[in-house]
Amino acid sequence: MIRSKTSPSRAPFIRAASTASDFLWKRSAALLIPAAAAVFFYGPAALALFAASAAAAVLAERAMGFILKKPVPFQGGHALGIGLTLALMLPPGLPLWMAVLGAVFAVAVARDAFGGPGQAPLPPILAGFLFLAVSFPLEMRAVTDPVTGHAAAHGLAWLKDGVADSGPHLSRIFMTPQPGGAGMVFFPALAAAGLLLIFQRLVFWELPFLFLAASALTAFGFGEHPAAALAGSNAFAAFFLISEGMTAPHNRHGARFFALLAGFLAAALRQVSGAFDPSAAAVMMVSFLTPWLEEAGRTERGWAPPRGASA
Amino acid sequence: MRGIKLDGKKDPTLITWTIKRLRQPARVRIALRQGGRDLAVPCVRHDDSVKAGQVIALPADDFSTPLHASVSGKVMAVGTFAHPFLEDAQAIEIVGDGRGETAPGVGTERLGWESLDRAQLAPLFRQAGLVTMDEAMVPLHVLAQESLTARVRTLVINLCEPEPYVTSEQALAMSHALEIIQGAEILRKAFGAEKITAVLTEDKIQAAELLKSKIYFLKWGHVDVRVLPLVYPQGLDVPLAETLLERKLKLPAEWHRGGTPQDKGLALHRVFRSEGLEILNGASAFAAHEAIVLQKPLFERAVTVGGECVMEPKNLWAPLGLSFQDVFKAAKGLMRDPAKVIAGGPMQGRFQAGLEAMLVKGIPALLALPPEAAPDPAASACIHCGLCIDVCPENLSPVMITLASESGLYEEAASWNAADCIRCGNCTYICPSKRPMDALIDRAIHEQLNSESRL
Repeated sequence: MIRSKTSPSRAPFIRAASTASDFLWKRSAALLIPAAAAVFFYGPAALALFAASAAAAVLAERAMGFILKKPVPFQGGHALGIGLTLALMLPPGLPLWMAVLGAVFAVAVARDAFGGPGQAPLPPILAGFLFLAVSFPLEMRAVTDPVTGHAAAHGLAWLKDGVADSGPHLSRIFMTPQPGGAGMVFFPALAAAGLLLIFQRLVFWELPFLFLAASALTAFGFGEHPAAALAGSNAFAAFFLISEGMTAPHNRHGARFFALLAGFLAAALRQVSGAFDPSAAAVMMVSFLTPWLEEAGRTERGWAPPRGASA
Repeated sequence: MRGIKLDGKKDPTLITWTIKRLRQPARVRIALRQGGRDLAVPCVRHDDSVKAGQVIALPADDFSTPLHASVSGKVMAVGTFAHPFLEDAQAIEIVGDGRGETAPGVGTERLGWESLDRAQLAPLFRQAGLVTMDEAMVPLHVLAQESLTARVRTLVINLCEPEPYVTSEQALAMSHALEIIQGAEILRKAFGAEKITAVLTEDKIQAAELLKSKIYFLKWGHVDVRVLPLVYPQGLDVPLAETLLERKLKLPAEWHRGGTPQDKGLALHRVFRSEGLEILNGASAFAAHEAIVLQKPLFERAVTVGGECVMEPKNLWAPLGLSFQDVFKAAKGLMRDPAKVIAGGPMQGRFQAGLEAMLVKGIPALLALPPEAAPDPAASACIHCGLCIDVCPENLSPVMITLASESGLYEEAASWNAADCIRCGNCTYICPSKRPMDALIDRAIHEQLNSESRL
């Protein structure tokens, strides 16, 4: 029989220039915008929090790489993203060692112990957040209002008696700092970072959009002003949590379902309890459903109906 | 269609539209198997004098075509030489005498070629050794015979040439537009098609206008020109057919299974024909014109010699059987050692381990790429960025197929419609983690086919 030559090297021979570490470093760079806002409002304490968490995540990755004798993946970009995102979700007054612990847990236990990036059953960021929330519930709840300097309710709980009836309160969401995780203080910073991600095509624009839309509709259903969906932690979840690759389903329909469900749940949870960060909790809960959403999101051919002729 | 806007890198070979002739080569080796399934038996002996266009090997079966000497000279030997697509192949070695003589009749116009009908054309195709001028190299007389039992509505002349570096079709269309249209008309008659559609991508708008002007001049109402957006893989045969038909095709198992280029090509042409299409490239139409009108058998073709390592990238009329070494020499050689030599384009072509292999009918381009253009990046873990989903022209989820395939879950991979993959290479190209997507998808499909054949 005549055998076709098997090539030691196969087509395509050219590759796109961007690499996974570029991808992850760009993501981390976008996170610096809300981080800068946090430093502006909370001062050096926030800076120390970010630095501690990011450094702990990167060092934990190095240590795990040394112990498991594996090379450091993506030049540290992935761990840096975890450390930074986690720090942005923590209350700014949190003791640094707790932030370090959370970052180390997220990278070393939730990610590397399960085989590294892409292998973890739960999104490492949310696992780290959950770990801290369960271990140190009091400290994780302690949030100061960046304006008054007094203790405030975490996350979106302040909305219940805040902007519920629209009017002048709306401007409070968009233009003034609000209590919550360190990175969630200032909506314009979050929106800028989110748009940056979308325009760099690091995030599929539909997902934040659907998440926020579902959240707004649900809020409206509960008698709140729909703009409540844009408040700090919800916007943060929309731009940084649901679009995080490992969290969302890997087909578009599945990811859309995911965003819708998480958006609904984020608004609904806020009604039920003011505890912690309802948006992060909602994303976490829905991420358990990812395999089923993936399954439900299948269409006959991949993820989208053929568009027909493009010419 | 979803796809990628690739960096074309076509300018270096398009400085002039002319396709250069090279000096009479010293030596050619003409493969007796061009595409794997065909076979020709030598009908010349050692020390016989041959002229360009003279038959030197006769077809061994109904599928094959005769082969013609591509230079004038003396037959040296029949031996085993490196083949660009097959593991090794017998070839006839001819040492050129530098005189460049052609066999009698070659190049003179055939009287009454306009009135040749379908039954007369197929044997003429065969005599001239015509094949589809892409990697598949399916003999045209076989396609013409098969089209007798099927209704071919449209003959598509695919001038899209979507791959970077490759410009031989474009140069051909710019320099021989009328010949291509006349050749297409000959092919249309041979396949019994009703109309001809020439398809180009929007970067070749000049060629499209030129073709249109020639068609206007000929007053042929059954020929039209379509310009499609420039997005890879638009212009490969399968996505092109899907665009023209406005629906997705089911690819046959024979195509997935691999085998020789000709087996794959034949399976694909059967799918197209069942949809009423016959898709051939511009070089095939040009070759048909040469063979029927000018009685010139297929013994040379336009080849792009390109890539950053080539001293003077250009399009050449290269005699078949020329070694790759000599093809590069005709472009003033290589200025640095290439990381990869590729027969064909960088997205679909074949890696060449050395420069000894000979040119066969289905090589539109020969590229010598440096390591920065053709890197061998190390793969890392999937970061689930979803870029491969964005660029898949078949709307598949390559990430799910490859993750399943990596874990050995071939049934799962199949359930993500792995078998609809058209191997355009987009997912491998775009993957930021540089995972071997195509190899993993290939493995999933082969495992699926194997388990199906076991049942």
